Parts: sequence; structure tokens; C-alpha cells
Amino acid sequence: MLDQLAELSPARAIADSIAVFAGVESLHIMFIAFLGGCVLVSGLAGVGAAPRGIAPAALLQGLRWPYRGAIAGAAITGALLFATSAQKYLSNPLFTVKLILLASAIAVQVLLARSLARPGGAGWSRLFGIASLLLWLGAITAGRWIGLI
Amino acid sequence: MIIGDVPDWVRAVHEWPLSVAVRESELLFPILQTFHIFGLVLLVGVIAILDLRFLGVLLRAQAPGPLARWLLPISRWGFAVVFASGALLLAAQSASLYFNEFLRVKLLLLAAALMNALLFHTSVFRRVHEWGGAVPVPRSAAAFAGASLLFWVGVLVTGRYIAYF
Repeated sequence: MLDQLAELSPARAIADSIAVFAGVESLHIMFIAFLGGCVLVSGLAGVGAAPRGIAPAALLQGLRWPYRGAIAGAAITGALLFATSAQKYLSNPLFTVKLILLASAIAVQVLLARSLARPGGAGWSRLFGIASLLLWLGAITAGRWIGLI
Repeated sequence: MIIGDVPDWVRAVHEWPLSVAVRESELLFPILQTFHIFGLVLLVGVIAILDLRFLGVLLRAQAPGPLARWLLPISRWGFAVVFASGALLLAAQSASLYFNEFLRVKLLLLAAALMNALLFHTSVFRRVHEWGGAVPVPRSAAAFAGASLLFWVGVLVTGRYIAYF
């Protein structure tokens, strides 16, 4: 009976929810790390930094589903974290900035893949590659600072 | 906040001027945290792609040799960034984190990840340029890659929990 009471006590409930919250955050960071890896490699290939022996278009093609999976994972875990205090996030200007940067970054990634697959698209690839890297850098920075302001 | 009786050397690190500066700065601390995440993406994100290639999960058409030669220097830069920022963040909170069990497990997993990488690179990895095409990645290399993924995931997860316990 007392054991059950201990299980029900608010302290226990908070401890449990902190563990779950931190677990979802861990997953979110894992997806971001992997997503960041895919984006970095794609962006570098776009700006022409991939060495000989690595075809940029094939690289992006090969990373397409891992990249999409990482986006989906980061979005689902991000949505769960958002749901815990939606009002707080919505009133945080950095959250809006992060979403705009993310949407732009995802759009630019599509353009990058298209320009790399097109013959003669190297100039555009370079532009989209740099834009992609900068936008993701901004999105991650905004994400980190959301919790701080 | 200092919890319990920490050894003198930990207290000395805690009171080191740079630790105090990081701890008391409203800007320096989150800036270091941001760099810690950038470094983490460079290190773990890139290593994960390489590990998954060795495991045959992705980029199977791409020979692992050129990929490794390209990505490993990036991951080393990532490690430098993550290590420098992490060391400062840790020094700033050394007395309050000394008894943190998640930190201890994280440091053990980090040591395991680095040891795994060292063993991999001084053994079967030396033949990485031969793999690809008709020559499959050896099972021992895949095992190193799998262990690497597990250790780094462990480092990330325990790292996140440090802040809460």
C-alpha cells in the first residue's frame, strides 16, 4: 500500500517525466546529429569539396532516405517536446526563427539535390550548398537558444 | 552549487579563473553549449554516416576508402570543438557535477568510443582502400562500426541526462 503511494507521489511522477523528457530530447539530438551529418556532407559536395572518387549527385541520391528519415525523426521528437509547453514556445520569437530557418533549409536541400543532378548546375550547387550549410547552422543555433531566452 | 565534499583538485578546477568566468557569464556558457552541439554534429553525425557505410546500411555503391579519407578529418575537427567546449563547460561546473553519475558513465562511454576507434584504425581499417565493389567490408570492421555507433549514442544520451540529475 505504501509502495503504491510512493509510486503515486508527485516527486516520483516528476522524476519519471523528467526521465522521459530527457529521453525524448536525447532522441531529438541523435536525429539532429545524424541529420547534420547528412546536410554537412551534402553541402560540402555541393560546394565542390568532395574529393575525387566521390560523385556528389550519387552521394546525395544515396543519402536521400537517411536524410528524410532523420528529418522525420527530428520532427516527431521535436513535436513531442513542443507539445509539453506549446504556449511557451509559440510566444518565443526564436522558435519562429528556427521554424523559418528549417523550412528554408529543407527547401534549399531539395534545390541542391536537383542542381547536382543536372549537368552544368555546378554554379547553382555551390550557391545552394553554402546556403544550406548556413541555414542549418542558424537553425541549430536558434534551437539551442530557444531554451535560454 | 557544490554538492557534498569534493576532492581538493576538483575544487581547484572549480575556482580556476576561466571556470569562474564561464560559470558567471550569461553569454559564454550558452555560446560554449552551442559550439558543443556544432562539434557534436561534426563528430557524431559524420562518424554515423561512415559507420553505417561500414555496416552496409547506406551508400553501398560508394567505396568506403575515399569516403573515410574525406570524412575522418572532419570528425577530428568536430572532436576538437566538442572536446574544447566540453572541457570548459565541465570545468565551470566541476564541483557540482563531480558526483553526477550520468557524467561518469558518459566519460566511460567516451573512453570506450575512443578506444574502439583507436583499435579499429590500428587494425583492420588499415585495409580500407581495398574494400568496396567486389570486396566486401570485413565483418570485424562492421563490428567496430556497430560498437562505435552504440558508444556514441550512449555518449549523447548520458550527456543529455547530465543536466537533469
